[in-house]
Amino acid sequence: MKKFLALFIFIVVFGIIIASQLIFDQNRAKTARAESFIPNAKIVKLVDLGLHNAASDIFWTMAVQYYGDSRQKDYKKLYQYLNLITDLAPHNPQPYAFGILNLPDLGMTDEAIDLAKKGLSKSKPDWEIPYYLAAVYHIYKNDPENAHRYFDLAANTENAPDNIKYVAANYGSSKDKRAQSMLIWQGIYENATDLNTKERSKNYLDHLFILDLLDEASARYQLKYNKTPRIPDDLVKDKILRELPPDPLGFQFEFDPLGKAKIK
Amino acid sequence: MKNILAITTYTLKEILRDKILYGIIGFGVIFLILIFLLSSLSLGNDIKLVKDLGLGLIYLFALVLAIYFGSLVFNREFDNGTYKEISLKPVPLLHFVVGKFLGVFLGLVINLLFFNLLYFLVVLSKKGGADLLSLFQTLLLIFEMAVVLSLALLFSTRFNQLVSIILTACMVIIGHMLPALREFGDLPKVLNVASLVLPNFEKFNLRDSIIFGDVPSSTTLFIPMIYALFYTVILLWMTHVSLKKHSE
Repeated sequence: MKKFLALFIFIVVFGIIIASQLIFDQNRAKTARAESFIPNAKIVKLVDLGLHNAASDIFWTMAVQYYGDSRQKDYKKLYQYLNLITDLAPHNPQPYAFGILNLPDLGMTDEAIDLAKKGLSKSKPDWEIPYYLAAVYHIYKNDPENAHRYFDLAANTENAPDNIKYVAANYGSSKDKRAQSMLIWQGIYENATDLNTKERSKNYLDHLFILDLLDEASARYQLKYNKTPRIPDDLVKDKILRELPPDPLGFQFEFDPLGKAKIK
Repeated sequence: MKNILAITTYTLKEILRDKILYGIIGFGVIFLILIFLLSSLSLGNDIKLVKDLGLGLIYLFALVLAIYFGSLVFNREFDNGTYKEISLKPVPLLHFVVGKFLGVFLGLVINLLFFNLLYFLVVLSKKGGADLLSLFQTLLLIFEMAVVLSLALLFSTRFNQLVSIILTACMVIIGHMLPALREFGDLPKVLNVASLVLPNFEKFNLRDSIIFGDVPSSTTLFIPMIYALFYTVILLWMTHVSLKKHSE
């Protein structure tokens, strides 16, 4: 009898422990995390017993968690994280590549360029750093001169894949900026080794594909009705398209007076 | 020579029988498994993360073992009263010191090789191939542990186990800190002298370069080995002198 009573008490007490943990976790999930403290790299190097790379990896997993946390209002600390990570392990190209590709969409284009330049001077040679930097200059800075320069650098980096060399060689041959962007994202998509980059480049390719699709549908609309569509819904309403594909980047579209699709 | 061999064998057996050793090894194995799981959070950087943290972990556990056993062996003899018995026997004190050192050192090497084998298996299971370059780091780690162990032995001739552990750990931290302090600018003269006299453990650190496939040069390998060899000899000699005074 005593044994059963002890077992019963044990189960009840353990049940309370588990329940309190679940309640705690649920409440914590609702509130944003406290601001994480990002230390200075020099201080970390002072106390990490020479394990700079291991310390950098720990901050890298923290940065990945931070970037994946949808409760964050903005991601301003991502650059600080990447700076710390690359100060601790400056030879590792991956954090640079990740930052150059992701920071511009978070409103940190200049920071992405700074990180890329740091990577070019300190990291092990890797085609991704100059290639992504060229993409930033092309897409976000509208600077074909610098884009050309870094595409060329990427193509001449050891182990650069053939399709990257192709993009570099053909950069500037098309006047259409969107076609160039598609080619650049295609290169990133085909060579991406991690899921985040693969998914991001696929989203951009789909986004550009939708813009092309809307342009083509707009041309057909103009031929049929002798006027330009105002909004993409006009194409569905007047039976040019059956439905509008959702934009993977979450943008809304409209048409300019010439009937070219653009982001609203 | 026979004396040294007998003391070495006895100390090695004593170390390998210690339950604390298996506790530490158990923690090591659990942490290596955790690293394996943690690597999935690294967004495509998993093999590098496993290698970095794996080598880091081997270092930390080797350090714990060297400091713990280094500060234990003499204190155990003092506490059990067996040191007095030994000092009455016709065994030269230097043989006793060297035998104790070699016994613990061999125990450490065996543990290091075991951890390295586990590390190889973890890296292989992550499809990271055979990380043969890490053997260079293991080689230097063995030499580094010789210095750490001699430091712990020296402190344990004068202080109890807890104080010896704290003092040795402080020396290890300082040995890594002094080179890193240079990043803040020119060091004051006192620290410059300290960085020459105190053991510099950054010399034995190849982790940051071998992880990117750089094969260490012969200078990078042999200078730390010679440094460790001479430092260990000096520390063991100091231990011998300290024990001699303890016996008087």
